[in-house]
Amino acid sequence: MISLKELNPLQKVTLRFVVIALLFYGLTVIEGMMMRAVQVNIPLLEAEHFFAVLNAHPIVGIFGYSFMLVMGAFYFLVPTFTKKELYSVFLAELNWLVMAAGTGIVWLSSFIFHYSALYTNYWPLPVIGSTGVSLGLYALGILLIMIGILIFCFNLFATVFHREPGDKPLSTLIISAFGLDGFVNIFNRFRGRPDKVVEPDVPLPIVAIFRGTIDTVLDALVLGSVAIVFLVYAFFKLKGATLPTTWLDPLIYKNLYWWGLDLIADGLVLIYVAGTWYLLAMIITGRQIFMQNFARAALFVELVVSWFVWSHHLLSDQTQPVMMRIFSGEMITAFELVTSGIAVFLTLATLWQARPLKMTMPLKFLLGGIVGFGLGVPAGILQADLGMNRILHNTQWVIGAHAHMQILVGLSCTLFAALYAIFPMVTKREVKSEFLSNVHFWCQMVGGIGMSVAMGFAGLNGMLRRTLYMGDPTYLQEMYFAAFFGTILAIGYLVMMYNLISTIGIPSLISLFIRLPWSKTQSNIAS
Amino acid sequence: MTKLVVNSSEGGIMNVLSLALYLRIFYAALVLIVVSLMVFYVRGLTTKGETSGRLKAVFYGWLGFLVAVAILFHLLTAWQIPWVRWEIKRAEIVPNREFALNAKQHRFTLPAGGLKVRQGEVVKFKVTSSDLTYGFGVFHESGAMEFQMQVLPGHSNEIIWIFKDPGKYSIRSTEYAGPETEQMYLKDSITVLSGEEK
Repeated sequence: MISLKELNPLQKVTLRFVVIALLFYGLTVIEGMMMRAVQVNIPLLEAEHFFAVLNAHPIVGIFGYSFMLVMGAFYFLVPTFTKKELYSVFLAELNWLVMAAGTGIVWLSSFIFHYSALYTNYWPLPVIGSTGVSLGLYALGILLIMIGILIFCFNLFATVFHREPGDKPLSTLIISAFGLDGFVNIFNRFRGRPDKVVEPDVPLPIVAIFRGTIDTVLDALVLGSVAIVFLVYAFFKLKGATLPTTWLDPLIYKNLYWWGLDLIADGLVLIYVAGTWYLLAMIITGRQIFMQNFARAALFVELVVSWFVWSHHLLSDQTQPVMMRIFSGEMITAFELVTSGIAVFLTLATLWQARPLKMTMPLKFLLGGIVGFGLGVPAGILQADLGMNRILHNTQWVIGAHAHMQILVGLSCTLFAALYAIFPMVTKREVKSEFLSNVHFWCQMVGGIGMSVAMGFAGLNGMLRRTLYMGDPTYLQEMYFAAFFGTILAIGYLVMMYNLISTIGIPSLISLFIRLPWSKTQSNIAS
Repeated sequence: MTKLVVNSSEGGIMNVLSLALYLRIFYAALVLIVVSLMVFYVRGLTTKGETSGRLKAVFYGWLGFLVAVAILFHLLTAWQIPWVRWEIKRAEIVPNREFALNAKQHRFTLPAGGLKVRQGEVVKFKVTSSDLTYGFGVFHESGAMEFQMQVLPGHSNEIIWIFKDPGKYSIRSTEYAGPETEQMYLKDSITVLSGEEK
């Protein structure tokens, strides 16, 4: 078991993020399985409650689980890789508290007060279809989460760009962090000249984290602003007054909202994931990334691409200008296939150059993550087409074959690869059972792919997302498969938690958050 | 402005049901290929071997392949899927029949006389919403989707469609607008008559 005395403040805060993130992941799994039960006609939830759970599910999953695990990992890795102190451990501590509180409040607004406008929040449903209390709580929760995200971004920027006397100037660091040195080197090679920047000032994984963080800030500003609008409406609702909904045009709102929201799915997630792949490949092989100039340049292209792709969410909006749907929704979006494909190739090529490699847990999960994006990205490109979207929009294809494949297999396996890699660095302990880690891996892969594929086929057969089919047997067969594979996924989660908890020890785990009366003696026993 | 006359064979050979079938085959193949490639890669990764000096050439080939797929895919669908053309030329197309529907308080109001069309006719659906953002989806009896669009309040949401298969079709809101959206389901509310049927 782990003695907390052995851990420094950075390790402790990292572990706090990880623990909270994994607990939120567990909550997401429970919510998912409750909804799975309803989809196979087990009347576990009333319609109102079902949609409240559906409302909480992605917020808890994205911000409570994914964001917090990413934050925990990056808080540890950025100082380690840049060989700098984290700018502020206090801010990091405040960060997990604010994120956890925000996510908890959103969950309460849904589970207890039945806020159910879902994460899409299409205008004017949030202000018409909810009470003042539920809307106010939801908006407060989202606002807290966005504040937490901004704290994270500030803390990382301040760490990356902190300079000691004698360090390189800030402009050099910024150019490198944007990956522009990669472009310069590629340009020089085309002209037959040697690389201008032989040793980049900012390591490649940090470049990815920095780029992703830019999208993260923009996303937080948009969603935070929307939350403030909701708060104003909630305030007047609570006072018994009703503000007109015509103040906002639904189409303009939808464009603005999706521009911000899509920066998560098509911006920071893809960039953070590419960065994590590069980081893990470098750790596993001890080598630089194959053709890293291209990797640096591709990350910059990905950043710019992510600002212009939101219209693929509006391909079925007949009032959205056709040219925007074609250029932003189809053509620019299609280039995510290119940028993701570059990250896949360069990671696999880097690993290939170092063969033979032992299949460690981080490597297995890393390759699992690549499989997830290898399946999820083409599914997304397929639906981002004017013709295909006509029969795929808002079906189970979108949320299954694309979103869940990317989140449960692509993103989650990448995050677990990072978790299994940094766990020994943070805790000074190996994970207790390799056998159980393997069980977790196979459950995540089989369960995640199986469930997403079953949902994808349901979508191709016409089954909608965000729709209840109680008593309707049309899509039951696909939903039985999805429930079966979802159960495998849930078993994988339980196995992982048992394995990690037995490695850390329950008393140590609790004393990470609460000072136990016997903690003085406990830490001695634990060590 | 010159008005465009289209017919059911306009713009490509694809209909909705055959497209869904091709997608099923494509998706099953994609899953098998990606998983198999990874198994193959892992076998190579764990065994000692020389790395090809042509890895850079392979990378440029891969890059070219991705760019080609990204561009050609949309060109292919624009060529073979007729409703892409219907959408791009929507303002210029003269429909044989036009229906106006409204959605309000989680209910669709259909035109008096119902929705009866003939196979191959050019139909324009004009759907408005008086309160929330809804969806307008048309489904086959099997549950397969024929088409859908979003219905935004304060806007006129229009779509041009040509039904290629006769039969009964149902309407369902394809966009969530609160738990009550469940009731926005009108079974067999569109009748598509075959060419000979009276």
